[in-house]
Amino acid sequence: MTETSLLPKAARFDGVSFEDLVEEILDDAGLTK
Amino acid sequence: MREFTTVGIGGAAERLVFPRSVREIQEILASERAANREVRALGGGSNLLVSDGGVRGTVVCLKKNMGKVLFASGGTAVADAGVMLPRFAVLCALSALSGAEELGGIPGTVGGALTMNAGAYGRAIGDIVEWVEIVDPEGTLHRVAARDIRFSYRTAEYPVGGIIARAGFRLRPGHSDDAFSRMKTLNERRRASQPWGERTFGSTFRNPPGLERAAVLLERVGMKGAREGDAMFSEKHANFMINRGRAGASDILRLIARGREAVRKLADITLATEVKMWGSPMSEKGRFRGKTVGVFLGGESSEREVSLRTGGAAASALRRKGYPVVEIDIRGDWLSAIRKAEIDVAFIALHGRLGEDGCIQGALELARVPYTGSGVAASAVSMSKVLAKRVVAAVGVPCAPDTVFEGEALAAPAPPAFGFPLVVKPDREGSTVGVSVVRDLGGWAGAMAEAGRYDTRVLVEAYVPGREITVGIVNGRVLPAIEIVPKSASGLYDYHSKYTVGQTEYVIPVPMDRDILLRARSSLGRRLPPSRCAARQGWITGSTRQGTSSSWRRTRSRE
Repeated sequence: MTETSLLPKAARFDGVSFEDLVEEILDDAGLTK
Repeated sequence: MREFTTVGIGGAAERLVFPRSVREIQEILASERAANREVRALGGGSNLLVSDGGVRGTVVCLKKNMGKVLFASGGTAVADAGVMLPRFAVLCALSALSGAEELGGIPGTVGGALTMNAGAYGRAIGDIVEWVEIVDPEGTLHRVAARDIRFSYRTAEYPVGGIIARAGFRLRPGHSDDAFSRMKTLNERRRASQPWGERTFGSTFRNPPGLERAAVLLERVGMKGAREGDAMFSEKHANFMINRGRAGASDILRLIARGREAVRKLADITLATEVKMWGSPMSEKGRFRGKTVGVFLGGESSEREVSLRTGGAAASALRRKGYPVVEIDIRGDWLSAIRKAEIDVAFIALHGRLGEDGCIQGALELARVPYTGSGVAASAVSMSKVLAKRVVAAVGVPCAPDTVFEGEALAAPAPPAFGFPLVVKPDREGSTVGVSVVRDLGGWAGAMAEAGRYDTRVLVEAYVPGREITVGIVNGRVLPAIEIVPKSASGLYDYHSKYTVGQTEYVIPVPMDRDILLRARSSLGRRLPPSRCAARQGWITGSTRQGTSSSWRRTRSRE
């Protein structure tokens, strides 16, 4: 997943930058999922 | 940042700079890149919601000192990125030039408008721009012709990333009086239908393409006047949100979620936000701040090169956010590398086997290190096309007929009864590695041998012609759909199409019959079991651009 990948493209359309998207994914890190 | 946004909300920026020239923008970006700091461009702050916790990195404010407009003969104008659109429209009118009148009521800057192709009353800024100058993250200036920019409704895709510094416009000769008269008429219309003099960021949601306007949908679900704290949907225009005094970003986000959910229940439409958000306001923001992040990348799968790119991009993004990051290549003595790095959390950027199939997730569960993405079971199921297909079929997603070859059956395989054309896939590979479309018996043996190089189990599916759509999910949030249009002769979205710039067209929003798209999003976004992050792709079949019928063939998911 780079800045031009599909998920960041869709997130950008929703107003979320690549950096914020990566942080959002990190924020959801956990165990026992 | 509340002083720099029209809605009057936002915590502090770590750094705020005010360049006075294009040269200074170049210098700032070069120095911030060298310091590995995240940079954001700020225009009029009119379409922006900043987190209550503020933003890390450097905010480049263009409105204060980048405000020059030059007019040349022949109806051309050059405007700095920080020029406010109302001023630009007035200066054009004074110069007896027509074409910018519709932009005169938008409280944003030239740069901000170009970023999102802002517009009003049937005119967008992309209609009149001739070229745009962009400073890339390294500090290099690029001039991009309008024909190389993909403008569509409230979006603009540039071939170069960075900060817009200046733009040239082509306008029509006209009469000042006519231009001012047109602007007056439009402003009166605007004042009659939209809140005036209020603290607002403008439209909250984009209008869904081809459907009722967002304001109409929100009004139908009773959102006019709805409140969360001091955040309120305007009683004059339901798609405008107002800060009545002390609203915070969290109030705004709660109200956005309420409006979106109400519309989804009414019309099965997920509205996309038009307002940009800074500072991860959608999640439990920055809960790993100050912790050491191990970015797991590389590995030993056939997708190693892709993983290195993913991991490199994620690591750079996290560093720009201020996180201490250690990149760990998951091959060789990687366990020792993890111990030595003393990481607090793992960002998994691995592709393919051992990275996406539950193995590394299981190791991290045992080591009690929190990790990103899906858990062990979801990862294991998703990595196997055969298993994943059985799961999605069980929840009612239409799938293509298939046959699975393994063991002795793989040694001398006979084509399945459903015949040609068909698609041959190794079961547990990604990035389309080893996948072939087989048109007739002549290609059968070669395709099976190729797939067999990568896996001992091979999935053969009936070929279903159609349009390929992907739906992304982040932390349970369904993102807008994207249509994938590969330019390869075979039409297959293969490794080359995926990872070579310019080899695939990505269409967003998807031009498609509303009912079909809703079924697609519903199938891929909601009907599958709950997941954290996924890219779910499927085909819409038997459909033209207008769409007539649909069925889904799941090609890959990583939930």
